[in-house]
Amino acid sequence: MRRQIKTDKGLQARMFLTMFLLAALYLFFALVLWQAGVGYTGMAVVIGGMLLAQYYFSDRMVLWSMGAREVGPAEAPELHALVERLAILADVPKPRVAIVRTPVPNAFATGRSPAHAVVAVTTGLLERLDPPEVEAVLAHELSHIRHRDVAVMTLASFFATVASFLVQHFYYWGWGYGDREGREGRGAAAVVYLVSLVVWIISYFLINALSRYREFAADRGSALLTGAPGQLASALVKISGVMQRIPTRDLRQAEALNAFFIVPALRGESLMELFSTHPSLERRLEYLRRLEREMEGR
Amino acid sequence: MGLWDVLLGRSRVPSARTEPLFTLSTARLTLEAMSGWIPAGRAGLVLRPAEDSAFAAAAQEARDLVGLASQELGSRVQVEGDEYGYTWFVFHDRDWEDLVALTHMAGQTLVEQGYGDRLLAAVFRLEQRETTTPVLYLIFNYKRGSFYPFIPVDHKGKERDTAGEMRLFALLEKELPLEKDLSRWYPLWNNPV
Repeated sequence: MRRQIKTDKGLQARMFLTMFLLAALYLFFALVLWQAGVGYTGMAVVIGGMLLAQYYFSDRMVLWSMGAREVGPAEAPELHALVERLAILADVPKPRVAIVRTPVPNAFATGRSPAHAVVAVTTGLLERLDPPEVEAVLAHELSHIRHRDVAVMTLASFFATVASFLVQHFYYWGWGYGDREGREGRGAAAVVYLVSLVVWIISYFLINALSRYREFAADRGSALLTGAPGQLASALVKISGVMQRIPTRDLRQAEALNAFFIVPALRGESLMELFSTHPSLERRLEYLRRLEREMEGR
Repeated sequence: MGLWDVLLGRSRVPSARTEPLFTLSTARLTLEAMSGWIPAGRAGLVLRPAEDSAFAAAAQEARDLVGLASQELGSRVQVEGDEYGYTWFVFHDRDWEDLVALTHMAGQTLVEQGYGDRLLAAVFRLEQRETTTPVLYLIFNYKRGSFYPFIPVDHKGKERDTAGEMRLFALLEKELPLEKDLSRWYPLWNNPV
């Protein structure tokens, strides 16, 4: 009887609640827009088209903006072999593989569906991590692909984009009511402006929360695929530059330099997390340790 | 160090905590069952000697006590220095509990003599069955009263197996008081244990 990582009910509940709140918020927003007049549908169509293009060409756009170059199996045989095996394990079509020439260790995945996915790693990542760690990172990215995170996040940010557009381009769209007169039109426009502002702010936090949950889910997917949460933990520590924080300087030397520990350890519990799309490293490491214990049945 | 200590520039060296050492007794079973690490029959304690005359007496007393106890337990004790000017007590005993008891006794004796702040760390060596590499050192920091794993891969190149250490972190978290702050996971390269 093999012990396995159980489904994370808490994570799924939080994810569902966030999506539900977003949907409710967007429904309310759509109602307000509809009440205020029809001048916005044209704009919604335009933005919808933009987002659809973004969704459709996401892989090409992201690769281009990151300066990533696609590589064939001849160029990077080990990398291709790693990706291939993981794809077989995960039962997804093998994504295309790209490399970014930069010493900063990082990786990303994009593409609207598993069939159109690209996984990219930086040269810095390949140089600095051991093969099992690279594999854990690739498994994390492959999990993003399996969970269709590009599609989910594009959909989730649709109305948020509409709202931000309304707030930012208010002078072009807001006051110009052709078919309504005077104060009434202006009042309606002001309401739309305020509602857009509120929707934009709330959706910003909700989308960030959703994004953080997707990160946890991808970490979990990586642990499931590789069966080695410790490798991903090690990779995350190295990527986030905490390698400077896991010391290589000997305790006896360090002790001679600072006999008195003054610098407090920074805790990852802070308001700042609300503003970020990724959970803090501490939280992710904690989560991975929990998965490790689940695998051991403790 | 509290706020007042900082403002008034009163630095005190934190004293040592020795009790958490006994949590090792139970942790051993987890180590063996979950990851195959078994005691290698060696442990040690490292301290920074003080320059005053009373310290020499205190260290001698710790030595004598440990010497007597080790005769009782059938273990061996070595005392040696290292290139940093620290003193090491190295204990050899096949029995894990004896190692824990000896280490605790040596540290406790110094604490009672008022030299607890001299204690740097206790080190316990573990190995995999049937092989001498890799080696796992469970290091106990007396000042913080916490443990952390250290798996050296290459002493010369100062390389350590972070993934392996992370895995142990996960497995031992519930059993031992582990050091949560990774920046305190100081290695002890080429230690005599």
